[in-house]
Amino acid sequence: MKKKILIIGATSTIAHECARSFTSKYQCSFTLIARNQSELDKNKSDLLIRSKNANVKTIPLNSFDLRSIKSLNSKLTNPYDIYILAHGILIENDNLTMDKLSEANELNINSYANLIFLIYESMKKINKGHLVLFGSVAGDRGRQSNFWYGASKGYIHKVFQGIEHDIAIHNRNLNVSIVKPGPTLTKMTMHLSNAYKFSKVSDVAKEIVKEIDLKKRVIYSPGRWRWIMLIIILLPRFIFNKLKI
Amino acid sequence: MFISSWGRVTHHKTAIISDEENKSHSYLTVGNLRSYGDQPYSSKTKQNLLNNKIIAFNDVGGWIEAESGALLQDIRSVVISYGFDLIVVPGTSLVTIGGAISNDIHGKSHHIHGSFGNTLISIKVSIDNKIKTCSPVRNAGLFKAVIAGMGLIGEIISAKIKVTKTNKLNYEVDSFTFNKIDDFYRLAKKSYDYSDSVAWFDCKKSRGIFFRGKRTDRQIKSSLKSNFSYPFNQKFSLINSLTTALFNRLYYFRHFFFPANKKLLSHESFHHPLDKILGWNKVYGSKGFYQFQCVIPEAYEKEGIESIMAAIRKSKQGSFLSVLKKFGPIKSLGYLSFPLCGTTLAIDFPNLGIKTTRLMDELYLIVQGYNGRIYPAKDALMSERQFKISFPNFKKFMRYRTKNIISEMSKRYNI
Repeated sequence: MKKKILIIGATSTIAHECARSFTSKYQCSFTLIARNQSELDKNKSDLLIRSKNANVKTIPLNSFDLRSIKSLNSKLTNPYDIYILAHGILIENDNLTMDKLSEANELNINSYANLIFLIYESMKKINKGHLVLFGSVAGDRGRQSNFWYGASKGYIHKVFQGIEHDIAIHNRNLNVSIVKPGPTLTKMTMHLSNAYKFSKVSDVAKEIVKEIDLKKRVIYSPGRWRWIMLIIILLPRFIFNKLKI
Repeated sequence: MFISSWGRVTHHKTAIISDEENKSHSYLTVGNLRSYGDQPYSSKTKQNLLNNKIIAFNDVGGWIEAESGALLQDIRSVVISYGFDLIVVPGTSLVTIGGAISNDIHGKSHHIHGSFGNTLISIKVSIDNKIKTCSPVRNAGLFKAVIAGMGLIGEIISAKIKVTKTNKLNYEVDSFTFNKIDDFYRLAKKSYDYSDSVAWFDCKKSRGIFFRGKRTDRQIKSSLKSNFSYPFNQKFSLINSLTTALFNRLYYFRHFFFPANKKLLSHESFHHPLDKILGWNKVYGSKGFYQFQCVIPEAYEKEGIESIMAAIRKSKQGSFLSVLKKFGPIKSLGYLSFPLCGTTLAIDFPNLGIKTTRLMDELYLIVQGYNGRIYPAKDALMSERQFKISFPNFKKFMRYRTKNIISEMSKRYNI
């Protein structure tokens, strides 16, 4: 089966691993979008060698720059089966500066929102496609260790809910999912002191792709994080406030 | 954070650096942590497992180029899809290309193909933030230093590896039991034209099983892919003199009464039987284990192996993971490469504290007495003196040594 897949933030470890996982299931035609062209080229050859019948196109994008984002519009006229938005940076509350916070919010909230806006508008016109957003387990309940990052991911969750509602009310032929990876060993997290306990990215990506195929709404990967987060969300405040998590 | 090498005898506190941060070259790059001793330990570590992209594949020239963090298992699955296969594979496929180069690993086909370094076309290595390409003809000295360089030259970025065109992906395996070391050598000689050979050995009873394999295009009907992870983290070792004796008997007599004759085995079950159990090293308990692997030069191989076995027998230690293999004459390229024409012996020892280290010291002395070598990838105890005597090319290696990369092993060897 053929699939046309657009990935923004294609050089992120999880996104690339998802792309590899898609090639093992489908004959894929990818459009990879990210800031760094040389990294994109590496990902392109990796996918082409791993899958003989894959097709890969790359587009460099500066997602901090509104004009660069708008210029993407002309390339969205052809419909894709799946649109994956995976770009973002991780910040920790420890040693956070205002400069770092503002840079992260610019990317994780502003630019992310602009890209969703752009893509969702084009999807509405074509009335076809599956939009996959990347949230995080950090966005489920604000916690002292990473609430600034968590808040930006919580924002994406609210956008996801809105789009889901919009699709239902207007009876659109569209799908939307939000992926919430649990702690995963990626280039973004490998320097953290407990990273060796994190899940393997290839396992996480395989599960994400499986769930995207099933058009699941909220995708926790590994799946156990659905239940862990449910407990954390439901913990009464007097207990939660005693836990240093 | 703490990292531990495969033997789990010691653990080491280190800071892991990310890809972007700190390009000044004072960190040690590690792969999948499959070496046994203190080789991967340093104060600043870069994990390169995520640098695992395939850069190029050439089916005319027969080579693949990949980033150094790619696992051999992963690379193999790609080249197979093009009708090729790797030439040298070690006992585990869960090692990175960088690790395979840095220890110049060998496999069951050493007598025909040499070690991993012999299959390399070129290596890209980052030294003090400058990327250099080296090969047998270009920067040849650097090439020889990086192969078996234990990560002490620089960070290996990528490598171009020769692959062989074949559709024979499985093996036809014969097994023979033997109860004299002479018989092992007789079988090894007789099986020299078999691409792969290895023997399992029971030190206590001085008997073993000789395996030889040939590639075949016969297909295996159903290959059960198990992905079992050893689930416990118990304190004690499940491998002790009782379980070892029991297993050794069962294993020997199984092959004594039912020897394999052109038995069809998959590549995985022939080359990587232990990969089926992820984290098998935890079977030895929280104190971990040592692996002793030496090579004795051909001139004294029989005598040397026999006296090592006698010492092991006397100590009443050991486990059922003991392997005997005849290395061939192909010269390994690295200045610090381990293989020599002769016989290699590898045995695991559950860590019983001073009793085990004393035995290891004794074995190391025997090896030195026969002009043999200890394999640094498995070593946790060799002295500076013994290292420098058994690897006389270390002086050439030191010309390329990047001084600010320091590992616990480089401190121990004083290199």
